[in-house]
Amino acid sequence: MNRGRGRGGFVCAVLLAALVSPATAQRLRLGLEGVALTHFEGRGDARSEGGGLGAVIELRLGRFALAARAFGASLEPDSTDRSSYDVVQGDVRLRFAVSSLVALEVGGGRRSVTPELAAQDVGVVRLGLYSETGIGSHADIWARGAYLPVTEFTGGGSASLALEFGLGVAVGTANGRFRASVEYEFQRIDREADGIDVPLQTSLARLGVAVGLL
Amino acid sequence: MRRRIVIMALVFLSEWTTASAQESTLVQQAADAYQRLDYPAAIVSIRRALATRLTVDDRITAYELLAFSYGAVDSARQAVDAFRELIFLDPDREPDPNTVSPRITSLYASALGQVLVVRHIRTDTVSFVAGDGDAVVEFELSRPALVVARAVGPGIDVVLDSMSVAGAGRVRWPATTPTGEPAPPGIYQIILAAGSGREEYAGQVLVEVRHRPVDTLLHLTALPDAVELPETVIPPRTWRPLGLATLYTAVGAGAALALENTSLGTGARRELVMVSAATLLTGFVMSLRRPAPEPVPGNILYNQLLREELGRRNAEITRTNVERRSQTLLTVLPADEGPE
Repeated sequence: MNRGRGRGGFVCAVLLAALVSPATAQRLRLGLEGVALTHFEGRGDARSEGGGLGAVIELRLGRFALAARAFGASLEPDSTDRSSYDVVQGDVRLRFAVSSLVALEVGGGRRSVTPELAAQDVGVVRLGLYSETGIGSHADIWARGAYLPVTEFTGGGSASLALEFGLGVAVGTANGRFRASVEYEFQRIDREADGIDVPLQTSLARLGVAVGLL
Repeated sequence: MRRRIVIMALVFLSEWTTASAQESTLVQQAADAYQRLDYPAAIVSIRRALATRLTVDDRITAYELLAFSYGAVDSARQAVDAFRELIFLDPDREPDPNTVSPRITSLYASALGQVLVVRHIRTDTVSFVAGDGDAVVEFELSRPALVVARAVGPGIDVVLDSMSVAGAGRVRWPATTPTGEPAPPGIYQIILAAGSGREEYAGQVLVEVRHRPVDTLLHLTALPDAVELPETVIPPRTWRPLGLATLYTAVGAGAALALENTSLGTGARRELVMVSAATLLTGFVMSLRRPAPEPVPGNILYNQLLREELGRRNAEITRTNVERRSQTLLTVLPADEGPE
């Protein structure tokens, strides 16, 4: 009991120290995004392309940053014998900056498909690294990589390998009020269901604008 | 009745003017005789003039001529007597050693040693804050004596000092009342009463006291001899932004390409190409742009210290000004000197 209380106090102290750290200023951003994505599922001709709109909210506080984003998109399969479908995807990422250049990132995400079974609904838990740095006046560039230790599918099965990579750049005004960004995300999930490989792969590009509120 | 008084006054004035003119004429005749080296005639004219009522100036001139004339005819005792009268009338008047013979000047010195007078009383114009300065009155005594100095003026009659003086002496006057308040503006007499045995003599000088507020100090906008340093500097233009963009693009895009599932084909690179191109383009543009100013911590700290010091000095000036506004600047000057 005492050991648990002591551990909790230690965690609280670490969190407090991280929050009051001057490493990153406090900031809240709200943004809108246009999304273009290409989705592969299964083998052969299971490729779909489309676009949509999304929104993002990001809060930076001390060494922590919390980002939640969601988008909806309509995808059109290449194959004529499959009908188009809609995708809604939400992601949450929590970062903790261990240095001025590198941050640990944890989070989760879920992609839902309508109509049902047009593609797999996917839920993931991610654990990775994030690196961001400034390039010149009010411009930032970042890259991320994450391992997806937990994956879930509506059609069942499991993933022997699940990874994500990302790359982005943003340019803002001097006062940090407005910011435009371009970001790329790549997700590969080697799903296996009933002994059959049914891989999933998504390439996603975001073009967004954001307003800083704090 | 009034007309009668006026007429009588006019008659008296006319007679007095005529008599004065005659007396001045006698002094003038004596001076002419002295110029002709006719010393006996000069002595006779002066004696006749001194028997009448002369003005102070004529009397001074008459005794001077008399002393010179007696000196010229080797009547040393009479010459010294005449010089003594002259010294009592005008202690500051003395023969010019450049134009008067040493015999005459020695007779004057002999006469001066026989009398007690306060001579050459003088003061200079001086300004000071009340309670923090004083006016100095200098004087000379013909013989050692005890001197009591007083200041007499509007509502004030105070003894300044009492001292034994031989030769030159000085008295300081703070120009304050006995309670320490600034002396009111006006004309004051500084009276120097000298006494030695049964001899007494009092000389005086008139001084004027003027009041003025004490000037306040201006606040500083910058420290003298200290210049603030630039808190930011513009670093030289570099290709670092493009280098970083290339590095990040290589890592992010390279990892995506390397881990692409080849069994799904390679036709899903439009997003990757688009974002990579945008990233590299941003890095290129940022490399061409003028770099943003960067803060210089040392200069910022230096400027902060300067501003703190400036604030301290201005606070000190504020305190000093508060004190100065309650003070009075006194100017003490010889009474007939300078306009208000």
